[in-house]
Amino acid sequence: MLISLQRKDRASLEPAQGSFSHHRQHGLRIDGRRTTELRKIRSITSTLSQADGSAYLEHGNTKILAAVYGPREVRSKTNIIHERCYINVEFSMAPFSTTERRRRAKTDKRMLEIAQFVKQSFEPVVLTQIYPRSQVDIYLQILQHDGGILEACINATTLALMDAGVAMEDYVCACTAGWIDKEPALDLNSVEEAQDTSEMTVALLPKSGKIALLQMEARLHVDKLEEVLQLASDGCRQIHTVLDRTIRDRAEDLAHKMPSSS
Amino acid sequence: MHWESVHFRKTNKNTVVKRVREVYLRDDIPCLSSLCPLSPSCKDRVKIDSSLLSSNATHYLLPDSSVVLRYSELLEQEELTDIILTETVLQRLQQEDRQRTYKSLRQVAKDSRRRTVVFSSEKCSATAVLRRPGESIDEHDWRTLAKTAEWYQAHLSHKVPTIILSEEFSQLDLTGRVQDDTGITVMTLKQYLNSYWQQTPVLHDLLDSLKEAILEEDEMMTQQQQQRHTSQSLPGAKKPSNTTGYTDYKPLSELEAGVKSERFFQGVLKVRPNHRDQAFIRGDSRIGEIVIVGREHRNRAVHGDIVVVELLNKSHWVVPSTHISYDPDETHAVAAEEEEEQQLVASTTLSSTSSSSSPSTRQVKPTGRVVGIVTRNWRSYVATLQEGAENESGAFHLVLPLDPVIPKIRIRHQSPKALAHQRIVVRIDSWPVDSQYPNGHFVRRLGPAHDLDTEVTAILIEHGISVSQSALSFSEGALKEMPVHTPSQPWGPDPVELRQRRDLRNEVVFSIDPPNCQDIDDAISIKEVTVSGKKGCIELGVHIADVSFFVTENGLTDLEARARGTTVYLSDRRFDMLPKVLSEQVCSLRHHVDRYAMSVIWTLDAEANVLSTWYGRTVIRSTCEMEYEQAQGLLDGKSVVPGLDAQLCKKLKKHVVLLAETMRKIRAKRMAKGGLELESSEVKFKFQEEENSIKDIVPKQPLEVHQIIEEAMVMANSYVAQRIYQGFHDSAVLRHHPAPVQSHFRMLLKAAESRGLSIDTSSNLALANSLRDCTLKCGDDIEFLRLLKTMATMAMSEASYISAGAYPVHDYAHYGLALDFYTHFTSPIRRYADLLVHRQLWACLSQPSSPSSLASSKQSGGVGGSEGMDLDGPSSSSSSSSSALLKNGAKVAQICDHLNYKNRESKFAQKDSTELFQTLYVLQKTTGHRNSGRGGRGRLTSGREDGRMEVDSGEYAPAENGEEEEEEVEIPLVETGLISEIRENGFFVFVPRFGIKGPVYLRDKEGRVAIPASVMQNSSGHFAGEEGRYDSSMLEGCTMETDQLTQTTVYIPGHHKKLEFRLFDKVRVGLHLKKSLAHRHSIYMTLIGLESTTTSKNVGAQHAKQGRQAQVEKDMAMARLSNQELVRDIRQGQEVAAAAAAAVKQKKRGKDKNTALSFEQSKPGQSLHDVLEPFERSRIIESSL
Repeated sequence: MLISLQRKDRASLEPAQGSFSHHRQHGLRIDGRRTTELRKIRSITSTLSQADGSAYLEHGNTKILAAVYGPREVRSKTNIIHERCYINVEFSMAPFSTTERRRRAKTDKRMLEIAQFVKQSFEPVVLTQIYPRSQVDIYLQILQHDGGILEACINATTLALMDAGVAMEDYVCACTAGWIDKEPALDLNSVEEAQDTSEMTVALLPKSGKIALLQMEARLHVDKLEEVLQLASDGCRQIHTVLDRTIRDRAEDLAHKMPSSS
Repeated sequence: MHWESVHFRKTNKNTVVKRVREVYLRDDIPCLSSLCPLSPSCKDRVKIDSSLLSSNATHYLLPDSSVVLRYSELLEQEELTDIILTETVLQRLQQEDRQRTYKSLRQVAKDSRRRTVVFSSEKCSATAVLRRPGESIDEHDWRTLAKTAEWYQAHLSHKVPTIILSEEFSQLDLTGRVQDDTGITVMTLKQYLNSYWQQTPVLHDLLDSLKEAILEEDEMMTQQQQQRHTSQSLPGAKKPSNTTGYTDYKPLSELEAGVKSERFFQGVLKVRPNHRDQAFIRGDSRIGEIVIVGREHRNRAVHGDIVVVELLNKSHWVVPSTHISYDPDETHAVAAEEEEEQQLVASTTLSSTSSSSSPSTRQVKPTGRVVGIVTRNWRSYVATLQEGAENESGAFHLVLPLDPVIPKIRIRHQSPKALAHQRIVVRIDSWPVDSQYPNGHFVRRLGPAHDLDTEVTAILIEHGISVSQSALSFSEGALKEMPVHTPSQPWGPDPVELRQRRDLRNEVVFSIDPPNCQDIDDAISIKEVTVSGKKGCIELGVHIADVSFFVTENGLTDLEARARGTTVYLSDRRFDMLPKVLSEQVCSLRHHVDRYAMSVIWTLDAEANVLSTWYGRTVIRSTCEMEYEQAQGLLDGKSVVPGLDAQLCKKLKKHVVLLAETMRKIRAKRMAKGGLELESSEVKFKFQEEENSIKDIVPKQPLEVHQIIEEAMVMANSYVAQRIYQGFHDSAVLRHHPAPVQSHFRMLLKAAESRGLSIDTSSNLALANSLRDCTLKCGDDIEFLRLLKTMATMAMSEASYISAGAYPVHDYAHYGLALDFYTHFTSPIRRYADLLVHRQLWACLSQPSSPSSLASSKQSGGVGGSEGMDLDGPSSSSSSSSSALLKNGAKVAQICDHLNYKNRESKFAQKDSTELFQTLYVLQKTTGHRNSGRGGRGRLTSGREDGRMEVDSGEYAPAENGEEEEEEVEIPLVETGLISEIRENGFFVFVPRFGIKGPVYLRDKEGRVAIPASVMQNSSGHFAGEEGRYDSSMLEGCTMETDQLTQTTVYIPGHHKKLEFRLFDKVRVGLHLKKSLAHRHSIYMTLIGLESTTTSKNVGAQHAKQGRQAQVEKDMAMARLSNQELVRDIRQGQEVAAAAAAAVKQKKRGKDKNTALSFEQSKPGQSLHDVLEPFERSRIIESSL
C-alpha cells in the first residue's frame, strides 16, 4: 500500500479553466450528477493489434489509451531482476488533450509521478515471481483530459494487463472522491478539481478489499477522511462491475469467434 | 443512475478556447410543488431540502431572463410568491456577472415564506434544449423556459396556470397563436401587475421607477456609444471635460495582481459619520488604517463597498483631523466638504512645521485613492427629498439619505411634490464616472418625515429588520402550528408527555424578573439535600422555558424565528421573535400553572463545588413570580414585602437566602479566575446578553439579586455549553468573547493616568483587579468611574456566536466572564441561538442508549465548576436522533453568522431608537420653554392633531434661519456633564442625566476661540435655577492650546486667567437641538460654565454619599419606572393639545429638575439615563468598527 500526501501543485497537468463559481442545486453537481454518482464509463479492450494487450477507456470526458507489451525479455541488462519481472510504466499526455494545446516534456515531474504511482500499485498485484528475468511495459496515453487521470490510468492498465494475459491477483480498480461545498463527492471532473479541492484517489482490490494506493491532494480535515475514503471505495466497487463486464464481454466475444475445439 | 449523457459544447468567446463540459440529464428533477401528483412526491424521492410552491396559488410565475436581468428587484418584493426561478435564468445572471442580483434571488428562494423554488431546467431531460447553430442566447433561454412551462403544466396536470413574465417575448412567440388553452400565459410585468396587483400601488410605483432607471441607463449607453463613435472618427477631438474628478476603475485583473503584489490594498470602505469627508479602510497589519480624503479620492465608492486602494505619495499623508465637524447637516455638503478638506490640509502643514509637538500622539496616517471596486454593498436606503427640490421642474431630483455616510442620490421621479417632506426608500443603481452623485430609483414611501411611526419604520429598514417582523404578523401557517390557548380553554400539559418528564411540580420553583414581565424565560429552585451521607449539600436547579418542544425544527414558526433571529426591543415597542401565544402564554413560566421546562440541576456541596449535574426535560409549577425588588426585600431581612402575602414570603425567604449564599460563593470563584466585574456601572458587558431587553433595566446601583440571578444563568449557560460541546464537537453553538486588542486600551490608560491611576490590561484578571482598585480609590466619583468603565468596555471585542467546528478549541473562551465554554441557553423565548442550544442539548440527552430524558448524564467532578475543564473529555457518540442540521457544522456556522448580524443590527436599531427618543425628550423640553417664554407661538406646537410631533415645515424655510440666534438666547436645558473626549476644537460632553453625549465647540467655524462669558461668572461652581440668564456673549481674544487626549487650556487675556478643561472635568452645558429635515435631529451643547474641581471633589464626595442613601430609598420607586412609562410620558406630552397647559406643566417640571440639580448632580427620578444605560453597550460595537 502506498500513501502519499502532498500539496496541490498540478498546474502542469491541469486543463485551462477560468474561474467558475458553482453553486450546487438540490444536491446536483455542476454536470448534473449527484454526489454519489460516477461519470459514464466506457471501455474496450484489444484496441491495438500491435500490442500484446491494450485497452481504451472513457471516464466521462477523460479518454485514455493503454498498451501493454510483455512479459518479454528485458531490454536493458541493468533492469534484470532474477526472482521476478520488471514493470516499466511510461505515461504521456497528448498535446491536444487539454483545452490549451501544449507539448509536455518527458521529464515533467508530475507525469513521472503518475507513472510511478501506477507502477507501485501494480507491482504487488501482478504475479511477478512467475515471470523471472523478464519485463512488462505499460504505455499510457491521455487523449483527452477532464479530471481524474490517475484513476483512469489505473483502470485502463488493469484492462490492458488482463487483455495481455498477465497473471494478476485481482482487478485493481481506482476511483477519486473529494470534498466539495462541504460535502463529499465522488469522481471529480476537471471543473471540480480546478478549485483547491481536496481530492483522494483510492485503488482497491475488490475481492480482498485491500487498498493498493491511497493518494491525496490538498488538505482535508481528518474527521472527514473516513467518509471520503468510504465513498471512494464504494466507487471502486462500482467501477469493478464495469471493468468486469468489459472483460467478460470480450471473453465471450472471443469464445464466439474461436473455432469450436470440440 | 442516469447514464444518458449529452455533451453540450460551449465556446467561451472571450478567450477563444472551446470548452467542453458534459451534462448528465436526469429524469428525477423535482417539481417542488405541493401539488405534485406523484406519491411519494418527486421531491421526497430525491430527498432534498427546499421551499415548496404552494398548493392554493392562483398561478405560478416563471420570469424569463429579460425580467430577471432588469426587474429582479420587483421579484424580491415580498408580495410576489410562487415564483419558479429556472437554472437557465440564474446561469444567465452569472454569465452577465450579476452576482448581487443572483445572491438576492437565491435568498428569496431560501425563504420558505416566499414559496419560491429553483428548477434545474438545464439538467432536466424534459426541458434542456440544445442551442441551435446561430441561435442567440435569448432565444435559447426562451425555448428552455417554454419547455419548462409545458413540463410544469403536464406534470401538475394543468392544475395551476403558469404565467411567463417576459419583456421581450410574447404569447405569439410561444405558440404562434394569441390565445390558447395550454394554461400558459405570457405577460409583460405591466400586464401582470395590472391584472393581479391592481390594488397594490407599491408594486406599480416600483415598476415605474425601475423602468425609468432602465430608460436612463439605455440613454447613457447610446450616448457613450455615440461619443466613442465621434472620438473614433475625429481622433483630434477634445474629450468631454470631466468635472466630477472621478476616474475610471482599473480592470479587475490588474486589481487582483496589484493586491497580490501588495501594490494595492483591499478592504471594506467605511466613512466616518462625523467626518463625512474622511473614509478609511483597514489594510493589513503592515500598513494599518488607510485614510481616503475627499470625494475625488473616494472615487464613487459608497460606505460598505469592498474597494481596492492605491497609496498616495508620502507627502500627501495626513494627520487625521481631530476636529469635531461643525455641520452634520448636508445642506451645504459640498461647501462643507471643501472646507473640511482645507482644514485637514492646514492641520497637516501645521503638524509638519511644528513636528516637535509630541509626534507619538500625532501619527501621520497613509492616505489612498480608490482605484477599483471588488463588491458593491448597496442596500435600500431611507432618504428625503432635498429641500426646495419639490418646486423644481425636471425629472431628476437629489435625495439625502438618512444615514449621513451615504452620499446624495439622484433619482428620477415625475411628481416630486408628492415626495416633499416624506421619508422614502431608494436604491442605488449605478454611479457613472461623469456623474457627481450616484443614480438611483425610488422604491416606496414611508410617510412624513419626523413622524414617530415613520421614523421607527425608517430605523427598521436601515437595520434590515424584516417587514414581516415590523408588521408583527406571523403567517397563518405558523399560527396553525401553535398550541391552543384561550381563556376558556387554557393550555395544559399532555399526560403522555408528562410521563416522559421529570416531575418537579411539588418543588418550590420561583422566578425573579422585572415588574410586569410577560415572557418569563427562567425559573430557579434550590433546596438542601443530603447526598451519600454528606449533610449540607445543595440542589440548585435552573429551569428554562422549553420552547424547543413547541417549535418544531424547520416548521414555519421555526423558519420565521430563525429569520428574525432575536426579539427587537425599541424604546416604545418590541418586535417578537415568537408568536405571542408562545412567548407570553404557553412557554412563559407563569406561576400556579404547569409548564414544560428544560432544566439543569446541580448537586453542590457546602462549599458550592459541583458534585453532579443533571440535564433534562421537566415539568414545573412556579410558586411565585417575584420581582427583583421583592426578592431583594426578602434578602434584606424583611419578613413581608409589598405585593406578596406573608405566608408566601415566609416560604420563599429561606430559598432566596440560600440561593444568595450559594451564588456568592460561586461568583467569588469565577471572579478569582478573572471574571470582569464592572459592577455599578451601565457597561455591564459581562451580562450584556442578559440585559438585552428593556425589561431588564437595572437601577444605577444594581441590587444584589440581579447579580445572583445573573450568576445562576451564567452557570447554566456554561454547563450547557460544555455538555453540547461533548455531543457536537463539530457544530455546538457556543458564544465566545475574544480577548481585546491591547492597543485599544490606549484611551483608557491615558484617562486613568490623568487621574493618577494605573491600570494593568495584560489579562482579564489583571484588568479586573486594577479596575477594582480604581473603584476603591475613587469610589466617590461615580461618574468618573462610569466613564472609565465605559472606556474599558469600548476597548473590548464583541462577543459572538460560533459553531464549534469553525474555530480552534482555544478560541472558545469567554474573556469577560473568564469561562472556557459559554453559550446562550437561558432565553429561548427571545433569542434563536438559545433555541438551537436547547435542541442540541436535547439531542445529546436523547441518545439511543438512554430510553428517556430521565437517564441523567452524571459527570461528577469532571466538569466541576471549580476545576478546570477537561477539554478532551469523553466524547459521547453523536446522537442518531438529532437532525442533520444540528450536526452540520457548516450550516450551524451559517446560522451563527446570521444571528450575530441580526443581534448587531438589532442593537444598532435600539441605539437609533434611543437617540430618537433622546432628541424627542430634548425637543419637548425646549419646546416647552419656548412656549412659556413666548406665549405659545403657534408655529412650535408640540402636539399636532395628525400625530406629527414636528415643527411646521415652515421652520425649514430659509427665511426663518435668521431667527436661530434669537432662539438660542433662551437656554432651554442646562445640565452638568463630564468631558469625555477632548478634540482640537472642542470636546465631547457626556451628560449622565440623559445618557447623551454631544459636542461642545471651543472654536467657531472660522477657527476663533469662542468662550462664552458665562464661564467667568459661574466658575465658582454654583448655579441658580434661573435658566436663560447666562451671558452668552463671547469673550474676546482668547487663545487655546490642546494637549491631545487629556487637556485643553484656554487663555483669557482680559482676566489674566487661564481655564483648563481636563478629561472628566465637570462642566455645565446647555442642550440644544439642531433641527434637520433630511436627518434625525441631533443634539449639540454649548458651554455655560465649569465646576471647579476643588469644589466638585469635596462637595461631590458629600453629595455622592447622600446620593447613595437617597438612591437606596428611591430604588423601589425608580425601578418601577419602566421605559415604557417614560415613553408614554413622552407620547403624552406630545399629545397634549393645549400647548399652554403643557407649557406650564413642563416649565414647572423643568424648574424642579434644575433646582434639584444644583444640589445634587445625579438625583434619581425620571432620569432617562437609567433607562438608556443598557444602550451604552452598543458603543462597544461602534468603537470596534
